[in-house]
Amino acid sequence: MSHRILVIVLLAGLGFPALCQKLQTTQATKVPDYVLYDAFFFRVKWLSDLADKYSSRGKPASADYIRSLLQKKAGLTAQEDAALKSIAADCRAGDLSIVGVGRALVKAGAAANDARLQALGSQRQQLVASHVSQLQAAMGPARFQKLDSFVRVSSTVKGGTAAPAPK
Amino acid sequence: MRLKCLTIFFAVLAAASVPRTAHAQDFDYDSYGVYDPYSNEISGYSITVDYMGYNVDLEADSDLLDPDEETVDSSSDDEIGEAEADVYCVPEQTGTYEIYGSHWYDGDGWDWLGESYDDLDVSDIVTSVSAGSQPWYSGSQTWYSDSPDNPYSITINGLGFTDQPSLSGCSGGIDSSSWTVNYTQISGSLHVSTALSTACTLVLMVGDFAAPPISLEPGTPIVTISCPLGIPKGGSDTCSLAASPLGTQVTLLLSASTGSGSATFDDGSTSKSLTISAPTTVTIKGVDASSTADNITLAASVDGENIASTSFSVVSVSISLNASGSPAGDDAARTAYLQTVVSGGPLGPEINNSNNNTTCSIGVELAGTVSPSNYRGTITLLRNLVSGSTYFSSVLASTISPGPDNSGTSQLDTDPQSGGSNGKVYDLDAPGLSGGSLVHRARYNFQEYAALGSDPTKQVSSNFPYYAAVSCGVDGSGNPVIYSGVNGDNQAGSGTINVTWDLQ
Repeated sequence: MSHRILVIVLLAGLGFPALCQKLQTTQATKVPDYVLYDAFFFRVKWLSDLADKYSSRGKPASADYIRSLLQKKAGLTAQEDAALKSIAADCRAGDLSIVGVGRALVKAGAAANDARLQALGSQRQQLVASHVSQLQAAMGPARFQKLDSFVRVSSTVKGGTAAPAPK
Repeated sequence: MRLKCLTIFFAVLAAASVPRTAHAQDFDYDSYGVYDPYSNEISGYSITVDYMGYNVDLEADSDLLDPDEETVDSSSDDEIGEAEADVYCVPEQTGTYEIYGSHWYDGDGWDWLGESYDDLDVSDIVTSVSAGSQPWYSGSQTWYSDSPDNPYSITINGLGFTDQPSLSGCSGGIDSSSWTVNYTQISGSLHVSTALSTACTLVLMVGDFAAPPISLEPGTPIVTISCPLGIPKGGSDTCSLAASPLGTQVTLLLSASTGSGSATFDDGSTSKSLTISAPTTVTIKGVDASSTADNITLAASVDGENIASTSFSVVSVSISLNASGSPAGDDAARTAYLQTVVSGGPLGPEINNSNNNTTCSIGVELAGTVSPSNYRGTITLLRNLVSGSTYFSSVLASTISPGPDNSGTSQLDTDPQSGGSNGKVYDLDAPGLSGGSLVHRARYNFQEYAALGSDPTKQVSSNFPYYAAVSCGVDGSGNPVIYSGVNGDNQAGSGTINVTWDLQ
């Protein structure tokens, strides 16, 4: 992290006014649905894992509280909550598999414009989209609409485009 | 954190100089955290994701800031494809905590992507709960309405308390509560209603924190049973029942605790289940006389546990007549009776003076032999006049209306144990009439019976029929004398007679 601090010190010395606004350097775009739901599925799985950790630590009340947190906030039935957790876990498993493949390709020396890497990005988007469809089918249109509203309102995910230089 | 603003500003400029490719979404980044009020822990993460390709390193830096914006935990992750940095703390103050994420990618050197935030409001921190001196985290509590610990005390330690806890789940189970709330401690006193009739679960919440459930249990019900000392054999009486709390379900059982004897409920059974919603009674029928006193038990059980019982006797009495000789030595009325005898008798034909009224009488002693012989209650021998006539010589003077003709208390021995009689009660009487220059005659048919206490509706014997016939003249001084001349006259005996002047 030292390279970053050096640049900061350099620029501070140039007399730039101090700004304390929350800014983004990426080109902020409307967050697409696959990003929204990828982040949501990540959150669902992360909470499930956290609940499991509490269970393994002998804190059942904490585990129950964390495990039921999203269900309560999103107003899901127990059946819907179970379906969401199952679909989210499956999506995350697929996600990590894709990421793993990409990491292996890079480690093997794949170039930035390697078609296989580009394809992985598409696969990831399709993976999320297909799991959103599964969720929609499991809940039905009306109930999914309610969950979808919750996902959008509760989301804190941000994103945009950036252009990393090829390595 | 203090470098964040300048870093961002630089990053804005740096990113502006980077040529871009046309991807709809290359990166996303997010921060999220939760506060668990049960463990008083905050957990969170910041994540950076690359959707474009997998050939650049990503970095996620995550800081956990307390309400004073001091960093209480931080972490960093550097990965291809997806970088996740987790943070954790045990909050020591209330207020708004923040998960702050800063996100980077390794373009041409490290390039800024953006920052993300998630705020967590920690309004109450519960660090410990105890009921009385007992720590609560070892498990749920059970509070009993009849416990000496009722009302129960609770102490909740922590931070940020401004409101008293909320209670739910046991309507009416807590009938009074008081709370003392200060910033670091809540003290409460909760009284479990003694009217609680069924178990229920009480939930106590401090903000988002729900204490382990409290089971409220009704105390052991109090059932009171009251039965008479004796139930007539072949008759019935009632036992009173009351319960606290109302609505208690009990099973009643009748049995002989020792010896012989039996009783049933009015339906002939010896077991009965009922819900006591108000003071009530059950009818008991005496079937077989007790061989010893108080050997029939009426027991009440709740959920198989005996919680109340009482005992009584099934009583029967056998009556006999003694119309000659002297009253029994254990007859408590003997002395008073003998004082009325002027001459003759004392039982059988005699001259009797009671209340300054001298008569020719037939002294009779009715004896009741009580089963069980050691019965503790009182029993009275009562009498009905069944038929009777008086005559002047052979001329009908009056016909006596049938009806009760009970002896006065001085003529009665109602205590089966008095005088060491071990199960005997007595009735001494001297039916008769005054004499006259014309012979006065009296003929009576009686029925004697025994009753518990002195209540004629609680008859404990069969009717014992007996009679008395007497004729009375006067001597030269005008004093009454027994007058003979009719066969079977001037005597008493069991059974009945014709109430004619000549007994024919």
